[in-house]
Amino acid sequence: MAKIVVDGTEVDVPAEYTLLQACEAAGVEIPRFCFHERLSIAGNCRMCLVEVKGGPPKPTASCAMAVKDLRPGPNGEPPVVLTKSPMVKKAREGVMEFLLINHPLDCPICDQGGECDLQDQAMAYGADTSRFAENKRAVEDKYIGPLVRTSMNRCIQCTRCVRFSTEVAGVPDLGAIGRGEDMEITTYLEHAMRSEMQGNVADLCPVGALTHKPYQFHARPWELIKTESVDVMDAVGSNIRIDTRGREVMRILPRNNDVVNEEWISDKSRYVWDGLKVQRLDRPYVRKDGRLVAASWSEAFAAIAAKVKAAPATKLGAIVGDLASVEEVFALKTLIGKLGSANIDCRQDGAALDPALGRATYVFNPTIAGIDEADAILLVGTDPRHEASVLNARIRKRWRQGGLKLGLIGTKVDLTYPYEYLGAGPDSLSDLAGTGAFGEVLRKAQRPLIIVGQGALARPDGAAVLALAARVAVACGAVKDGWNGFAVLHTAAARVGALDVGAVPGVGGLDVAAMTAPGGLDVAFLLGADEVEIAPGAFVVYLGTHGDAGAHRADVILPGAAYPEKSGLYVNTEGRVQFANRAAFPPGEAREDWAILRALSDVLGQTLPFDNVLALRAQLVAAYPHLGHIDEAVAADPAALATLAQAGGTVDKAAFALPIDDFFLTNPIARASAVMAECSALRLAATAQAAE
Amino acid sequence: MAVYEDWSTERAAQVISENRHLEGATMPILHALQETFGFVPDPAVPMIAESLNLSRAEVYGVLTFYHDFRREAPGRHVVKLCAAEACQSVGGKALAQYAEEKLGVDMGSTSPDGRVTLEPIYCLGLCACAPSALVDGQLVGRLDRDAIDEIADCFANGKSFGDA
Amino acid sequence: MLADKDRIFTNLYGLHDFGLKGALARGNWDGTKAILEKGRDWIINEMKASGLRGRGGAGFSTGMKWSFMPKQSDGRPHYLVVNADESEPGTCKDREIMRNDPHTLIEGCLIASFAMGAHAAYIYVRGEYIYERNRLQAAVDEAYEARLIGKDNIYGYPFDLYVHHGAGAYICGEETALLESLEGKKGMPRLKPPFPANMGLYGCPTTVNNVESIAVAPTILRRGAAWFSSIGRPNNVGTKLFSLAGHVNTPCVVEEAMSIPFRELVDKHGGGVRGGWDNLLGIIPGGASCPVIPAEQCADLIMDFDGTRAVKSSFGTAGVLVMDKSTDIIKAIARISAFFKHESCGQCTPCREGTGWMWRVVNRMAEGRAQKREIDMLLEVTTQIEGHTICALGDAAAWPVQGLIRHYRHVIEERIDQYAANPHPDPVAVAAE
Repeated sequence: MAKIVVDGTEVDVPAEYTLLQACEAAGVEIPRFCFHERLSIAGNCRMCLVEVKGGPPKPTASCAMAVKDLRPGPNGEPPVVLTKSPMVKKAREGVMEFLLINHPLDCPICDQGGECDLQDQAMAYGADTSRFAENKRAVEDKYIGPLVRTSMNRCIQCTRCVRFSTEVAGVPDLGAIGRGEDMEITTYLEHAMRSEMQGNVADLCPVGALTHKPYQFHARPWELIKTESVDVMDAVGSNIRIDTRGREVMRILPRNNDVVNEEWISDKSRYVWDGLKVQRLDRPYVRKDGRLVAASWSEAFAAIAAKVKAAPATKLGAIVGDLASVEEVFALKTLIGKLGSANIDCRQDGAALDPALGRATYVFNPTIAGIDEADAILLVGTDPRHEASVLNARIRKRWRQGGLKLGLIGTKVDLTYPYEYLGAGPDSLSDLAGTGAFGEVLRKAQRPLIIVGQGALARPDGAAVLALAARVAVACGAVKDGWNGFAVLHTAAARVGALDVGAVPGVGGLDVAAMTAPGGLDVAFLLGADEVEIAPGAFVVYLGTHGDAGAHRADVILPGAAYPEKSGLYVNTEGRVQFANRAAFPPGEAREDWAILRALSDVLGQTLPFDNVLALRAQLVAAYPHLGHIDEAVAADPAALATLAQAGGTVDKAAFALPIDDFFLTNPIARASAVMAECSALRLAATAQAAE
Repeated sequence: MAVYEDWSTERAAQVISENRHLEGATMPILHALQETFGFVPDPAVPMIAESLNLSRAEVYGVLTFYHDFRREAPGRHVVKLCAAEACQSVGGKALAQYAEEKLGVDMGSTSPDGRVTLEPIYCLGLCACAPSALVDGQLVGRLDRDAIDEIADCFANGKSFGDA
Repeated sequence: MLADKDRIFTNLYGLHDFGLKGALARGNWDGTKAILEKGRDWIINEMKASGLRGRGGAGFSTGMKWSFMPKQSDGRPHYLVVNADESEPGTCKDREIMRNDPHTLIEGCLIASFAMGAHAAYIYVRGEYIYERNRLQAAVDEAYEARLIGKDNIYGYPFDLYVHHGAGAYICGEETALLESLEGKKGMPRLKPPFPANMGLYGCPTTVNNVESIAVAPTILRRGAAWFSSIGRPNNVGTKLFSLAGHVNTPCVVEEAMSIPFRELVDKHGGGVRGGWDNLLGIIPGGASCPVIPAEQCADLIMDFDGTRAVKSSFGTAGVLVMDKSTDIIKAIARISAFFKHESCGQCTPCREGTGWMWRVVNRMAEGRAQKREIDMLLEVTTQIEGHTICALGDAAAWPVQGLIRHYRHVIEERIDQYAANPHPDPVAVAAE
């Protein structure tokens, strides 16, 4: 710790703090453009200049100077920093003037207007008139992909975007070319960026040079209602803010949460919102003579009731989709139970995860923030870059700090950081338990981390692979006091929550494979389950949001609410319980899913015991107390892993497959989105080109 | 007159591999490519990037930062006229205009027939012999109209300046 | 006037053999072993005692700079980097060393590297110096051949010397930009701290010195600090390469004693100002970045660090540019502004935006197409650049303009008046840019 005096206030800060941080600790805000907490220091905008007493007679860039670099006074007095002196005022006004001379005065048509750092700081430090009588610089706009729009006249060359793509995203497509006045930001030969986190550069851009293309000219920030929510595009549970105008979702932005997504989100999370507006199921449908016909709610319920009454309880079943909130899963499970059936499953992909084995066997035990502490990471059957982009960026961040050893078993993929490739299938995993060299690395590591993906579990020998992975984890000391390095990486936002409430087959119940098989069920309830195909013969009730696979197969469609349209709990891959607020309303006659299930239960004569979502939630928490700990990832008992490690089972030799074919098209909302379709097509073209 | 090879991916790959072991190899490779082909063609950028494990954007940035590197083929002859203070003080500007007329090419461009490229340069460090020029890599001091005439004649006859 | 016996660069004009044989005949590489045997501390102390100030422009004590290098290596190698990116317009001294007396530099590199515990040194030669690079490389090859340098040289101090060449970027003369360029990146200056003595080339302790500073070191150590410091006046000692260009009758590069009066320099070596002393308009004393010194201050001007500072200019590289009364001083400064605008790396705001602004305004002023109030505005713009940038290029760009306004405001005003009286002598050029 070091003492420093900022504008007369003495503060005690860590010596490696920058002056900018020290000033913030003293409650003084320093204007900045290029500096960003999560990026390297560039020191090029010069907006953060401060005066340092006893230093050289010129202002110092506070973002680049550390407290420990300052010399104390002659008698050991703490160094003195001034942020409001005439020197500082002149410096900032000067820098602001320089930034503005070549910046176009097009705020009225700029998407950044109203949330622009340059605009805000110009209010504080800018002059009211311009002394610049020359022509402004004109810079050609660049094409850098379908997601980020450029308006390069506005660029102030802060290089945040370059640093983000190089450092955080690990796909260094952006760079600065030329020099001096003619320096420009572009991708090499104006290729589209290839990162799945590129939308973040538009957030980082302090001016309107990079803006979100799908959002361009759609809205002004002050028109928007901002609602805090949670993303469901993957199982990371990224914290998001949903901005709406009226009933319409206008855009999605990340929210800062240091232990989950920091302040990044993937492009799928960010730009999927146009998918919320198309292909929507906005009223009930009933299949008559082979065609789906619009119906009223009561007609739809009556059709279901008739089929349910006719079917034996053992031939009723439900499959939970990937986007469901915990409440509706709980409601569905309760209803199926009341109907006397044990047939329910949330594992659309057939992943061999079983809550009966203990919670530690299916969550990401070390937590996402725990990645920062890991010193060896083994990836098994997973491609985190596409299954959990933000989490992958966290691994990359850890890798950049150095001293991290990485190994991968499964499909060789580009993860944006190097790793040792250990093999394709379970055999390579078995080796680690024995003589494999990487096993030694894991054993020597203080905090080894073993990440098991769905590619390793969603296969016939999944249970054996899970047990084998646990055996490796236990053998290499990944499960010990103060550290549980066994991590299951999910791809479905609903999965952990559903496993937590036991949405898996009860005694004698059928799993997904059995329910979808011919003759498996007479009546199947699909809660937004679009990744499965029910064999012909069964009567399918689809409760969901989009006209996707499930709706096409359905005999009755019940229109539900998409994730921005309902409040609910989601449990992410870590087991962290997070609450998503409702930002918008479901379209037409669509309703919140839990309410539909409640109404249906009434018609089926098995009324669910709650009349509103609060009562439902209260019952849910009563039954599963850990779900009451919002924003917490309650640690699971690691003893379950020791038990699991003892479990046997034989693994076969087949290589681990990737659970995700197309990053941009993993769920019904994304498949409805034109933006996602464009990204997907671009990616396919790029892959085809690369293959040539 | 400089004679350059035609662009070929194989030759470029060879040049790159000859230099990639050097520390800070980007610049030596770019220099070597320019010496071989007379310029650094765009297809070379991804090759360098891959060879040095850099991003294309980074190599592209370096290439465009240094003004000596060309991205387009120069003329068969290259004349660089000093445009800095010492040469200006002894009539550099008028001489530059004369050279433009005589060589039939605007400052900073290549003649349409590809014969000659005329470029300004900031200080050749030959201030004591101003005005100065660099003609096909060869220094010329105390440049005057006669010298420019001579240079233009040489070029017109397909000879290098200084060979005559 | 400097006596011939006190000259360090005895082949400055290339009259003799630049190679090793000639160099040995001129006394280079004489007693180098004895110097090395006296040890690192002795060398550094002697350099400090000699009072040698860096010859690259800033004038920082060379011995002091060497002493900043860690005494003990923490495992990282140390490097010496010689800045031969001599790109300052009006400066042409280092080229003469490299092409005619390269062994002074090579020997200096060995001794300086030894004094700083460096086993490798890089000489960064600007891209335009093709001939110099070849000469220097030939001399380095000779030195390797003769085992004066190399891994197993006759001095028993493993030492490698590399000649690296730039590619046309003035900014690479800034020491940290030069290091970036050596690493193969864009020549963009780094933030300081950390200073190169802690984190330089490839993150290792590095000292960057000018060619001349290194090349004079062997002779200083051979002849003793006392000899060197006896030349010139206190705080400004030694011999110095001056280059004289512009409106003098015999432009030249010459080694002279520091603190030589300007008039003596120009009369003795430059053959006098073109058209006589009274025809002098002003001088730029040390390369483009130094503010102009008007004729009335040149009469008693002492050519050294303090002498030029006394007239609010700076000594720079001692590349003197003499301008007689035929010079359009505004155009001349506009030219310099164009240069700095062209060479700004574009990294930090004040320099990137400010150099272009200054150039455009001065350019208009050269025509007279400006307002008188813009003179003060221009002056303020220069102060908004100066001291606010990452490296000194911002300062260097601001100073010439400040010098112009300080001394020639009346010229600008007259020009504006002339233009205002007769604004369009010729048809107005449309969209000249």
